[in-house]
Amino acid sequence: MTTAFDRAVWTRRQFLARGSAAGAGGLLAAATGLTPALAASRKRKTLVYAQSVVLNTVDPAGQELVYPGAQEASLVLFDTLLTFDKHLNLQPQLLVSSSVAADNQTWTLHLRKGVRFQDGTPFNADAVRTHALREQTNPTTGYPEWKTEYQSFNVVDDYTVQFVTKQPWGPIKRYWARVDGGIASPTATAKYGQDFGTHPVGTGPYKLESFNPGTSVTLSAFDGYWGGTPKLAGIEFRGVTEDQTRLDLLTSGEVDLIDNVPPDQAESVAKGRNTVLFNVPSLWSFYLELNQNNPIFQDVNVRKALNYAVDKKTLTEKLFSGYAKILSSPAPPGIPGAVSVGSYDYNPKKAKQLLAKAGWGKGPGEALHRAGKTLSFNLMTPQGQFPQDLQVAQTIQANLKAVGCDVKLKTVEAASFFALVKQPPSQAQYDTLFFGFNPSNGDVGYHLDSLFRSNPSTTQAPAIWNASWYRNAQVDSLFQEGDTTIDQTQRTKVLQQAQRLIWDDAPVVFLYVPNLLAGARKDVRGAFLWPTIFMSLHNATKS
Amino acid sequence: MAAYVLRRLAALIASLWAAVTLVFFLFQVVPGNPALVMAGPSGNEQQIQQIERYLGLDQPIPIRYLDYLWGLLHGNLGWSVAYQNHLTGAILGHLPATAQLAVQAITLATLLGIGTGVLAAAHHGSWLDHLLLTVSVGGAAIPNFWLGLILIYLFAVQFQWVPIISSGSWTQSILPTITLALFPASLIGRMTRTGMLEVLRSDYVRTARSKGGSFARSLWRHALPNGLIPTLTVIGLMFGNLLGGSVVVETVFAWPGLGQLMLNSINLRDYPAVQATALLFAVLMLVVNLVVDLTYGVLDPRIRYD
Repeated sequence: MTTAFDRAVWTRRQFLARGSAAGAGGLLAAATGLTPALAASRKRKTLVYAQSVVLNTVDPAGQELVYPGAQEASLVLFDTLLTFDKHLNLQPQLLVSSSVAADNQTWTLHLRKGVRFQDGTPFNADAVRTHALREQTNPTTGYPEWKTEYQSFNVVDDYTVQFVTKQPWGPIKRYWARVDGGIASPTATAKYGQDFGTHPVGTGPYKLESFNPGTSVTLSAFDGYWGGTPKLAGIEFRGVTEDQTRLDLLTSGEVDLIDNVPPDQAESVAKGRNTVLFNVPSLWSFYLELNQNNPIFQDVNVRKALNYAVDKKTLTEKLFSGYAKILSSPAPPGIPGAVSVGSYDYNPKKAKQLLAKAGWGKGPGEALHRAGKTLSFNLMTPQGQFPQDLQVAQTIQANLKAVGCDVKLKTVEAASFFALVKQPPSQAQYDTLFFGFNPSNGDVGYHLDSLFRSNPSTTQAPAIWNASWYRNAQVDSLFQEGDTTIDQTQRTKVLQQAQRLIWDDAPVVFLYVPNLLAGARKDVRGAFLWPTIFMSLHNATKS
Repeated sequence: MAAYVLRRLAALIASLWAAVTLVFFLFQVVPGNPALVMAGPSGNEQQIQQIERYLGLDQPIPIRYLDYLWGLLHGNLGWSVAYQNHLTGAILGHLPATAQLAVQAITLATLLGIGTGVLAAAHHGSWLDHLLLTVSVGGAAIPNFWLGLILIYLFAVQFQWVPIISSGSWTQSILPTITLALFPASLIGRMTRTGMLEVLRSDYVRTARSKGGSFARSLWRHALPNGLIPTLTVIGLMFGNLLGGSVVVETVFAWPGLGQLMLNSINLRDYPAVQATALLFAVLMLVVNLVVDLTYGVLDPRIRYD
């Protein structure tokens, strides 16, 4: 069915713009019919993608603020050194090969030849070095590893560059595939300075046509793309924050692709006459952090009891319409290197036994008692920060109450939530905390490290997000080994051992990962969701 | 008159300063730290401090206040965390869309409101009066996010008469204009009706009728200009409101105006941007109020400004 607003139809203005851009080709076309290039470009269509966030800037050395929309645009504007396939395995892109010296710190990167930026600047070792230095010196970058991990960037020859790290760094290559591995044109960064974010120039298949900050970003095919002529005439990103409006846009055919479909609407997109549902388990892992500075949670029996007490199955079925996966490891199931360790199946009886083992027995009231103290603690949750956050917290509260815990809900503003988590123990206001983490580089070590490595100081705020204040020296040394092991098979082995240890220590209640849900018109091909949240549009096309 | 305008302008400047100061200090007490947001999940203490220095957040509050005032005097609304740029550009970029919608909506609301108000007053007590009153109460009661979604569903999804977001086409503004106009229209309608009823009972209208003038002439020529004064205040206030941008309607229709800018800035904890939009709303309100006050004299020469 063709709709009233079918973007496939070329307007007169678009056609004229193309024609004049083709220049002499256009004249030739007028005389002889159509040149093959123009005929090919005429067949290509523009894809319109309504995102749930509004784009302000697109800069791989800038901010991760408008997440994940800005990264999605960035990844078609800027090719990255390496890239991910659907399952987050690394693939070459601007990098042909790389090797590391015996010190495990000096990396030699061999760059692809014959690549040009969208402004004509040749892509070479100088460009890579300029980009790296820009990442390193930008005070407001969202990608701090360039500052913390690298020592120097050296040009060896035109197509060889050397990266030296401060110490052996195991996950290094996964960072080259992240958004900040997208190389910016040195000519353009020099020319636009702080305005580069609205004038992005990379080596990707689509180049910037127009940027309306806060409204839309329009890209057009970069016909000088090293990987062959792009499949679409262009891509238009539109910010549409209202869920229902995005769904209406998809149904009416005014857009081709939407992100962030609410779980309770997923069925209607899947069954739509002209629409299909993208449904991929994310890496966004949710936990109930058990603050082990509180004596109650220093007993592993209590921590395990709470894991058995929460009914994850009902929770994911009711609150996420089944579009979520229960964790079977401290790491999300879709990340390379995750190992399924076990399951804490819903078992309130076992939970009560474990609590009894920990010395919590019947008291005067409903809640359990031990040595004159009630089993009472609070549960801090943000409202509007995570999908269904308050509802999840309320469900957990009810589950825990059923096994004899008196849980007080402490709801905080989304705006202040992360600041309240990053507090020194003396200031921390939570006993248990509903928390989610998404590893945007798809690295299992980074994920575990961020959440379960001992905080370096017991008097300062968590270094990253170990909000449960979990502390296990053996796990720490495995992290250290994983972090500095370059051999990926060995690294995975080490990190899988860490996953088993953490699972048995149960420093948190392991909950679920929600699925990523997006909707597309049936004629859209080649677009897919990475488990890291981002939509891949590199090979998208419309039939 | 000139003295009055000068006095009002002086008061306006004082009010502006009060608004600026209030907005500035309000944003010093709201929770959340932009530097923490910018540093991202893996940002450490050192990076947060570096960003605070970069944004000037490490300075004591009085210094920041003076910096802020100094910047405003130079047309600099601050540095946006999300736009990675000065806010003046972002605000100016979003103002036209909101202004367009505000002008269209207030025009539609005024035409509808005055039309129905006069009609209802002229047929006071009849079934038409009751019908119009019921419709206008309904219009004021319908939440506009709901109305917006229903309009989209009917006219954009089911019938496909108008697009929802296709940029550059004026048809895109039809649905948000209607959505925005409904509430002011019903309010203006009721104000007009009340004002007109009062005036229609007055002596000069009776005189106009008794010297043989038609009812229509007495209604439009004699009663309307006098009955409109309270309505004008409402129109002015409503217009000021609309110029501030409707967060709800702009969100539902993905309309790139100030309301969206504000909401997105809140979501991104871009406090300088929220601060700037809040300030802009205050300024717009003050200016519209002044203009409304000055218009009274034009409508009713008996009103003196001294």
